[in-house]
Amino acid sequence: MRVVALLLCVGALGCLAMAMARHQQTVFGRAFSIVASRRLRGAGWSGLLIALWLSVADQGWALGLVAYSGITSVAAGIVYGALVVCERRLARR
Amino acid sequence: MKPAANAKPPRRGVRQRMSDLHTWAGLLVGWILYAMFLTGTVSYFKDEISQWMRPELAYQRVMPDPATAAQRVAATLGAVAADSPQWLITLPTTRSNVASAFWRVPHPQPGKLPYGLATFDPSTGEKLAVRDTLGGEFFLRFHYQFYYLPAVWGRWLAGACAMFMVVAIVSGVITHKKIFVDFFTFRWGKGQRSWLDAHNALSVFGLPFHLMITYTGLVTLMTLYMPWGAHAALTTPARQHAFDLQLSSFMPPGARADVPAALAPVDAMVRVGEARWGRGNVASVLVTNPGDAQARVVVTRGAVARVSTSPQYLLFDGVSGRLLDVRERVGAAAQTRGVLYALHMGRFGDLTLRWLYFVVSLAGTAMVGTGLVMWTVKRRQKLPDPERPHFGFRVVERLNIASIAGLSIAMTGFLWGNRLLPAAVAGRARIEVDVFFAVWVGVLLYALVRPARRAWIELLGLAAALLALLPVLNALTTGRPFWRSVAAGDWVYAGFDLMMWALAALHAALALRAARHRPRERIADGRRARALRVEDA
Amino acid sequence: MSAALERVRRAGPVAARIVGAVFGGYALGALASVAALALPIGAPQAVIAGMLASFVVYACAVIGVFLARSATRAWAGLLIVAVPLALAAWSATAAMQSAGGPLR
Repeated sequence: MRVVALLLCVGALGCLAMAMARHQQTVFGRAFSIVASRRLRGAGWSGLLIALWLSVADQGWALGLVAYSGITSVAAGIVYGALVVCERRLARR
Repeated sequence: MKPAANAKPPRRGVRQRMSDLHTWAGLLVGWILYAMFLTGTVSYFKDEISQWMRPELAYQRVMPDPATAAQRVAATLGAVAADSPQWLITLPTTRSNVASAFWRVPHPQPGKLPYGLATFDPSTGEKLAVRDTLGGEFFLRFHYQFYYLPAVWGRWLAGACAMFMVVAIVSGVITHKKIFVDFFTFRWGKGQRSWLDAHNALSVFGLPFHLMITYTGLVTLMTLYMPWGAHAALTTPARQHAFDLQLSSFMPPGARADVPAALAPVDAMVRVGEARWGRGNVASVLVTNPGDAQARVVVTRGAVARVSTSPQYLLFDGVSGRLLDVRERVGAAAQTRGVLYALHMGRFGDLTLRWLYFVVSLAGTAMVGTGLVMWTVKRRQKLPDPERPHFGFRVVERLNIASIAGLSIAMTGFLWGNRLLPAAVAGRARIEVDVFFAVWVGVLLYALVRPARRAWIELLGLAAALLALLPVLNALTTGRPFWRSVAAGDWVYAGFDLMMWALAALHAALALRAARHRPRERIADGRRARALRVEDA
Repeated sequence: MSAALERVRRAGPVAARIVGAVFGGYALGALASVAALALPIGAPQAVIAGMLASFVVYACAVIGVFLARSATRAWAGLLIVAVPLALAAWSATAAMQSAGGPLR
């Protein structure tokens, strides 16, 4: 269950990151439409909320909240690292 | 019109003031905070470190039965500390393969302490005949009260640093208001900006954790830091006692009857606790007035699967073994404090949760470290003559090296000392601590005489070497080399060796990075602006 | 001579803020921890609640001192916040002395 929540958070934070124009430029070379960005942001926040619900449903409020904080931190780190790697690889091309 | 000499300097804006506050708060105590963070981080695995530091004890595949362990230790204490008014026995857990006890000595010999402290083998109840060492407790104790200081001063120092850290966090967030938006923008390898972005990223990752851990750290010692309410309200011993019971299950020894009576079997009492709270979930047994008719035994619940340290305990009559009282609830404020305390200690979770704590805490350590280094990187570019920096800059630079690279070397040196010091040396545990500090001082002196950049590279390289060779030293000095630990399924020892190698790789990578880094030359502003624009395109 | 005096004069407000933050902030936190005794929840809970809140008060006081537009305003702010806290603290301790009865 924790792995599911982690993967969900990685996806959600990835969506939130890609909702930013700067990253759209970096990864895809062009900015998305405002509607697309808004959808990505919505998907991102929804994903984070669903992951929270999964954590709490699985382990109760106390442990669930604590596990959720850890999972979001690690997921943020993963997305962040992926962005850095992406940026470097594209800069080299 | 006032003359120009009396004109006030232009007032700095709010963000600038918050940024200055953040820099000063961080810089004044940054080195101590780094040490607190790193020792706190490793303390999440202190029981495993303690196991590693007592290699004579075989790998504990199955947790020893805590009830039998309690009974056996109580029997030993009955022989060793029969006249003591109080024994506190800490039971083995799935992670800790020893039992320990603390007891009061009513009539200490002159010059001796009024209490006794020992570690016991849970299977025999005998005092451990292994090397005398503090184990992982050394790092935990350093974390909140340091060494060579009276304990109260050490805790005040830790608390003051924690308060500075809270201010640094809040001022940092105010300075960087668009913090969550800017979070994902990171520039790689671009001198000062990339250090700033690394520092920001690490801070934001674990922002909830950092704020929580700092505030809850203050909460753990709150009765020391803010005793005023207690002074005003708890004016009678009865009130004080009622208050204490909200925070812990400790009870001061009551009046004796001076009628000798055998202590009832303690293992039965522990089993009642296990029936109630789960197998192995009994943390400690507190025996007051053992051997007397007024004996009492308090059995306290363990930390597993419970996000609160509020006391839950069973009170037994020490002679008849009858259950006298069950306490499992405390008031709302006390319960809040219990939860906050448990969040800081992080003992409630399983292995995965503890690793999460460890990783995010390590990020916090890196946050403090990058902040300290960033200060020198920023200031170096503003120096009129980079070859001859002013005194303040040099102090910060050397302290950075000594407290960042130096702490890694000192902590590894502590572990080396554990393997190299002969087992029979008197006061061995204390000598291990002295080794830690001697190594640290040595590193500081080295950092003072070498040029700064070379010192970073050499010391980080030394740390990498010491870490990488520690498993080799372990293999040579004990019968538990890496390959045998893996074959036996001993993941404490095997995991420890792997962790040392991973940390060695990390330090080696940092040393290489330091070696390749060339401080940016001071070029004319026009050229720099053009160069930056090219890089950003 | 006047240049040195000038530097001391310039440092005055910053020093006043630092003193206000470090010591004034602690004093406010301590006051808050005693003022919490006025809460209508038994004495042990109020003591604990006061301790928990005191660190938050201290941190806010420090930030507030440096957010204020001048050192004078910073100190004025500290004193203004201290007054109701001191009143609550004083009345609570007076009640504790006179009551002296069993804890709720």
